[in-house]
Amino acid sequence: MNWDANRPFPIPVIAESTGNDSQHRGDTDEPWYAEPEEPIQGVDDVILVASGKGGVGKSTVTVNLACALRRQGMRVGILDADLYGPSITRMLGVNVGLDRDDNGMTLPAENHDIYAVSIANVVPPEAALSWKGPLVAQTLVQMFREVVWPDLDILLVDLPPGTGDVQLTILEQVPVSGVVIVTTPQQLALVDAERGIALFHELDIPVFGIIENMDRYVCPCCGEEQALFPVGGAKSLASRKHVAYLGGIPLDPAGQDAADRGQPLVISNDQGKAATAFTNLAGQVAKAVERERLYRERDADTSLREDHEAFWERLLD
Amino acid sequence: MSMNQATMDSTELENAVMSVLQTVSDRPDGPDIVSTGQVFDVVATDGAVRVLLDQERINEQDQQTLAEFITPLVESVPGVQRAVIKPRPRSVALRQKLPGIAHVVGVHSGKGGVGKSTVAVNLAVTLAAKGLKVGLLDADVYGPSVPTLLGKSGRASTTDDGDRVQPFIAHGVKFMSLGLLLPAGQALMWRGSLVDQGLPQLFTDVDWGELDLLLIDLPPGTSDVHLASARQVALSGIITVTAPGQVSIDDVRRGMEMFADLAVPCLGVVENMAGVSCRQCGHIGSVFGEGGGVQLTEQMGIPLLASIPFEPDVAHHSDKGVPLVSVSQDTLFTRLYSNIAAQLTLLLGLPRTQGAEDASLTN
Repeated sequence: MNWDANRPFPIPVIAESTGNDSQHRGDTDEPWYAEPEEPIQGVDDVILVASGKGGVGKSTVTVNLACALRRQGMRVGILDADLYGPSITRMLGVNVGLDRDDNGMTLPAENHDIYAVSIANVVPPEAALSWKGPLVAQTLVQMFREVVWPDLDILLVDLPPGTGDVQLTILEQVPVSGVVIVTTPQQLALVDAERGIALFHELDIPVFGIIENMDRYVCPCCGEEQALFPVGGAKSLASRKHVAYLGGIPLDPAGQDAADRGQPLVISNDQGKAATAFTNLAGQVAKAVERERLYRERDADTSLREDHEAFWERLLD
Repeated sequence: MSMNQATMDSTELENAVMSVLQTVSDRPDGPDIVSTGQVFDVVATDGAVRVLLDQERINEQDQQTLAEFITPLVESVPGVQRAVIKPRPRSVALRQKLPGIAHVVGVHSGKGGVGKSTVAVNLAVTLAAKGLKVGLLDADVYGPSVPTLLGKSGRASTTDDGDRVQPFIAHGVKFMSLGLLLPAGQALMWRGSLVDQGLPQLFTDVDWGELDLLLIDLPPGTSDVHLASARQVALSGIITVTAPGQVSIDDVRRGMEMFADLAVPCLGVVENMAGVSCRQCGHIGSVFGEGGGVQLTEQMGIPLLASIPFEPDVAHHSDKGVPLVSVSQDTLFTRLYSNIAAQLTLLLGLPRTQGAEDASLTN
């Protein structure tokens, strides 16, 4: 890894949390959740990639989805919000330090025409921080708002597993257009995915749907497809929670190697079954984003709302 | 071979850095910062060098200045790719022991989904089958998996005297999980500060009784939960679980580094999910990468406790709540776990049962 210590991110490597714990809304009776209003400069839609359980392939899905969306003509960025186990730099092949512009704002790294920022660009593994809550919040806000994002249609946010500080901070601080949930077919992962969906529903964040990763294994030798895990769980979770099932992604043994080399499957093996699955997925996500934009415009269009109100008034008269 | 090579190079690099630091002094004609003990140690892995400072021997206002001064010096030593200046490892544990519990060991990985819980559960069941008194604490507050893996659900109950939580027992293992204290399907939104309040109760308010070993299934990453766990009790060590791919290794190194900073030793590495064999042609595909576990142990000089293949049966049994080691006998899978158990017994000096000795002979 080409770590350049001369290009510090605006957070110190040896950092102690200085925040006041009473700022943690969990400690007070006030409702902690308020709709964030300030948009992210340069970004049209912020989409979260979430899962309850770890290791189900959030980062792999994020990187490949980004590349597939790019191929469909969208301008895409990735924010690696997994402060605890950042993977995006390696998977996208952007193991570099970050530059800053004249105003001290951080410039994102770029590869495969995808712009990305990750904590791994900034803090070398030897510095291993354990992330206390206030430091998490401060760092995330910097990653969203002190980075010069080029004009992006979509900023994908790769979340850490679970429903902890990172998730809560982002939902508090950043306007989110929607979320896709990644799971594997195991019961173990589905239970945690359900907890995740419950959180987003509770906060009124649109859940675009569930992606079932590793739904089958394709032998690289003979092409035989076999299920590694019991099947059907993700579809039934989707129908139970009234969210879309966006499709399954097969486990491709070439995927790990591709990820280790920073060459996502969508690029390195664009005719493969996994790449095809990601392409379909990107189409669905693009549609969901479009739909969400229409809703937003309709809500923003006051004349429409007035018409709507007038209609109800007439009806009531 | 390559391990010796790597160790040699690291030692040379450490010595070279040390001799540069011996030329630095914090006042004119004063003793150098190494002989004053201000530099506690230098640790190198590959080209990455950590200079560990003893904070107690350096004035607080001088620490940043000293770090800024020695960073370029260390980086100018040939072979150094990057330098990190940080405080010497220091335990944050509030107590040495939990009453009645001989050893507490964390099962950890930097990356999620590499099989921490599966390893923790199967290891606990293996140790219990050898006659040890084993407890398992599921500290994954955001995605508790142990109840599913051990096939128990429902709500935890209190003890007869009413002021402690009764652990569940399955396959000879006493266990407790946050999953048993919460309604299913409800998201747990724990701020770090709540973790600090809630987690201690899992350590102190559960009626564990006498235990030879308490395993803690930690969440992935390097978060509040890890710090809070290390604070609750002086851990005898951690077992690091990793998948063989580079992406997992990257994250795992961050996790190991954090525990090293907290003066918690790493007892060994378990490499999980190495290879799937095709049912049609028998071809073995390395689905989650190759060789990472060996690479990690060579870099860090830590034993590889096992390399466990990906076994679709594991997932099927896990979903049913039956740990695979409890149903299969003398398969590669059970032998690997017996082996880990035997090594752990030796490392920690656990009571040696007949079963444990058998396993160490097969090693």
